[in-house]
Amino acid sequence: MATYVDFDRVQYMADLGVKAPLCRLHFCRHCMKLRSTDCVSHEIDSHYCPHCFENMSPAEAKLKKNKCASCFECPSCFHTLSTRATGAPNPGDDPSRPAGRKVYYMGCGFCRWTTKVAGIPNQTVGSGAWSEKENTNSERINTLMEYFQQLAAIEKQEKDKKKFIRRKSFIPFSEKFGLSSTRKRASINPGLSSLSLKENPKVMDIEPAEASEQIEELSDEFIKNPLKLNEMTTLKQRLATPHFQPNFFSELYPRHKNLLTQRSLRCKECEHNVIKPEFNPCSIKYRIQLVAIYHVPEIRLFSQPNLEIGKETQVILTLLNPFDYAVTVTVHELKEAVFNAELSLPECDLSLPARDETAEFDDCAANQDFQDDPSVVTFRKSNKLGFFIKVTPKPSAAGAKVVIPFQIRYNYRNMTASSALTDPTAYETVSLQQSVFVDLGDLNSTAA
Amino acid sequence: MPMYEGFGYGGEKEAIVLDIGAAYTKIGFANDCSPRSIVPTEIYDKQTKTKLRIFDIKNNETLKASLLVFLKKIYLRHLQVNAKDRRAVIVENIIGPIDFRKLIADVLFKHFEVPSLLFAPSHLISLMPLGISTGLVLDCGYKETIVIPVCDNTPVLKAWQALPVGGKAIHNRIREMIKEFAIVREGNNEMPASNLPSDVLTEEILEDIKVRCCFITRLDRVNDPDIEHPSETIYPLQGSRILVIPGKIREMACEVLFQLDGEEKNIASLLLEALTLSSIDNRRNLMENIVLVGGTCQLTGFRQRLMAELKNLASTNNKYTDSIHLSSFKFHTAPIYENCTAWLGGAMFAGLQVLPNRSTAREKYLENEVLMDWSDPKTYEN
Amino acid sequence: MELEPIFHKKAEYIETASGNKVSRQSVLCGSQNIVLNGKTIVMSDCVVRGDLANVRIGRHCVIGKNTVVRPPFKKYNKGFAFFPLHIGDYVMIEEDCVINAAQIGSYVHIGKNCVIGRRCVLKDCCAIADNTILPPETVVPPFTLFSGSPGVFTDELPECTQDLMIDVTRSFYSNFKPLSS
Repeated sequence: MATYVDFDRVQYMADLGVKAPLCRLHFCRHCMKLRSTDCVSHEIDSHYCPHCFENMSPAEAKLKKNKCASCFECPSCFHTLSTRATGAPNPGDDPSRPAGRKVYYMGCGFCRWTTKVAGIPNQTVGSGAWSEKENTNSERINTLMEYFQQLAAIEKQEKDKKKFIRRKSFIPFSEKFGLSSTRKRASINPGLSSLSLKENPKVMDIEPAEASEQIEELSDEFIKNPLKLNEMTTLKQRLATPHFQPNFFSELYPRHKNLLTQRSLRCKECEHNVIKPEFNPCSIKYRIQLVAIYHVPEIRLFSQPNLEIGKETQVILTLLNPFDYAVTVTVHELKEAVFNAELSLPECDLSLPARDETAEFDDCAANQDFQDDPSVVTFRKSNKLGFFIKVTPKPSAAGAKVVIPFQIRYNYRNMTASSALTDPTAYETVSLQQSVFVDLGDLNSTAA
Repeated sequence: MPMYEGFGYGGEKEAIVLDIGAAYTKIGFANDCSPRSIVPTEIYDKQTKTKLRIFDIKNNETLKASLLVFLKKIYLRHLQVNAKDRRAVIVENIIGPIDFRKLIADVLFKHFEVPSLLFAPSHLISLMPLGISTGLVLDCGYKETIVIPVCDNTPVLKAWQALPVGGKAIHNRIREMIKEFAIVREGNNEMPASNLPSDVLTEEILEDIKVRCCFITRLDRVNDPDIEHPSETIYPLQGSRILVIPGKIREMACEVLFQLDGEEKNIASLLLEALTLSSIDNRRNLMENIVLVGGTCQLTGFRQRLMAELKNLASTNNKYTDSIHLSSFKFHTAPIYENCTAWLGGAMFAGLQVLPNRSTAREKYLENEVLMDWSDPKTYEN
Repeated sequence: MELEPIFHKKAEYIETASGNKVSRQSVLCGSQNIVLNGKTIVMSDCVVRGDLANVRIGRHCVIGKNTVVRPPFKKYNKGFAFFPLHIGDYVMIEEDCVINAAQIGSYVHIGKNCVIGRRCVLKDCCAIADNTILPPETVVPPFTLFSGSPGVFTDELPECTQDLMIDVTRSFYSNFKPLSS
């Protein structure tokens, strides 16, 4: 994100030990755990074109090779091409046609490439007339694929045949079928043999490729001709169409625009959806939006502290309550954590009122009867408060970032308890804990 | 979901095919005639804010994390399919490092949960788009050039040959030659290019110079000391700086592929060496079925020079005249560009019904974490 | 990290009844056509061309220093006409930008030194990185980050972008304090 604010300073520990800022994490309400993008499975819901927003299902997108049918991309700079109209007729056109008839060409608004550069004739209809460059080798490749598929079918048949080897029957033929005449036996056999697998089906013949000794020599003219750099394509432009990698700029052909996807995320453990977007790609609402910032109190660094080895610095952290009920947060040491500073965490409970949407419009501070210890709490504003922690970097912190870990415990109302089915306002309060890692930055470089 | 989707058999979805090269990765689906996209094999490291080449990472932990990021990007942006639904085929270098292969399998099976995975040897699979079963395959890529003869659809591993010359060596040579011969012009000032700070000539710029300006010259021009080089080229750098590239660089930079090194080896000699190590009855067939694979083979003038070098070495070097009595070399032309030939072979194989039988299934891998590997007989199936 | 308070000279900014803070050093041409919906900050040396067409800017927007906001035009056979420019709520536009877009949605973040071409459409919850040049008629879908020149899709934004932008613009507004003289 073109972040105005640096979100990477405070990271939370999700399941599987992955650390990420809270804005990139999700919360599974059923497992009650933080999930990172690695702990969820991505499922593609639909494809859409980033230019015309045409929505299509994955099956339809597959047929169109994940490209939009109507939007084209400039082969030179990869911007979307726009269709323009001109009254000028094509040079090879019938002169008796009325001159006022509009013809269309495609042009790029950024690098000024147009279809005329590639020699594509102007079209009489605005849309639907242009096509991509075809692959001239597709016929040969398809023939070869058919041949190999026939070989594969034979191999599969042989393998299957091996599985079903008919066991020799020890019961005499006449007893098995109750027949004695040989004629009847003969009439049964053809029927049985026709059911057996065909032996040696015909495989089509293909011509293997022919190698040749004749190679075009590099002519003296090519070597002597000065190189015009503008006429050569760059590697990126060539690799954009793998089946047609032109060396010259005049050979570049427009391409259909690639589609983007809308994905829903699912918790790998409990298989419940964590994120489910709306069908419309232009909408910013979600059907299910279980992002962590709505379900976990957020810790933020208030300002960059001045750290020196051996000197105790007061660092201000802010705590935000995202819930619509009051929350009490306690800060604890994270056991088994190795870090390069001495830490002194606040002992008391930090209580925050519920999030209030109207607090924005209410300028006067609401009456809040929180008895705050001034040595712990610096400020309090609606559902946010700032608190001190004391950090003393150890000598081992020289030259490295000081990252302090701690744990927060808070009460969480679980709405998915089974009792909630009968009573929607019923909830279960559980105590959850999250591990937080705050990057306090480098030591003050002017310190001794 | 429709029952019959595309060319495939039954109702199964098409497998994904990846050819992870040292410089570029070719990405696509089975039964397609060309890859969907070709992307550089690198990831953007947020901490150092630079691009990091996957094959330059030495530490296995970092490599695994980078592969995860890289494959995630491939699935989300380029393939746009659910990883769980599609079998995977990876075209690999058969003499590449084993660790890399194990890490890819680990990431694909454990994180992406692919149903099955097949590692297709690139030299063998490159013969499929040609419809032949015997061929001498030369893979000239970014890091190295590897030659492996394939007889009757079996790679003859004892005859493998490799040289660490490829695109990267050409870039280094261009850099050296620019420092020695080129001039930088900025406004009215001219100065030799050796005064340029070292970070100006990035890999991207060198690659661009190689692709747009350089070519491989004829053999008769190489040994002529009075040769007239082509005229110079103006190459714009950042801002108003211009690099004047003399014609000598254009013509001679790629000589690093063909000049004989201390052991008298160049990429043409690799082919001849591989021929001498193959059995005598296959030699003629191999010589007449040479297959060129890899992006560096697409340089202008590569084929004609390689042919000239082969003929020259075969007739002059005593080592080869004894064992190779004929000198009729023939090159194949695949129905796709050289950088995607191995990928196309993989795509053709991935569209076959027998893919499930030849691949390692996920359940089996999770049991014992063993991948079939030619170098370790313990991993062969009974 | 939280935003630092930004101080300005009290006399430099005019505060309107609905809470808009407009710098005296900015140039608002055709101010009768410009609508600021409340608690929007227009910083110094900005140019907003309301004389060409209507400009409607939403709530809690921030227009950075030295930015030019100019409605787009379309060329017809008989000359050209200017189109109204709509900017949504909670939009943060940083310094030195040139905005010619036809429509900017809500919860958008535009980085420094960007050029948004004519008749571009930026949907809600998108972001444009610093130093991007968006060519004319680009459409930026929601939850995408465009960067480069020409601006192309490079990254996706997290699902909580809406709340992040609300938070950023609101704290910017509350931190934008006059220097107590």
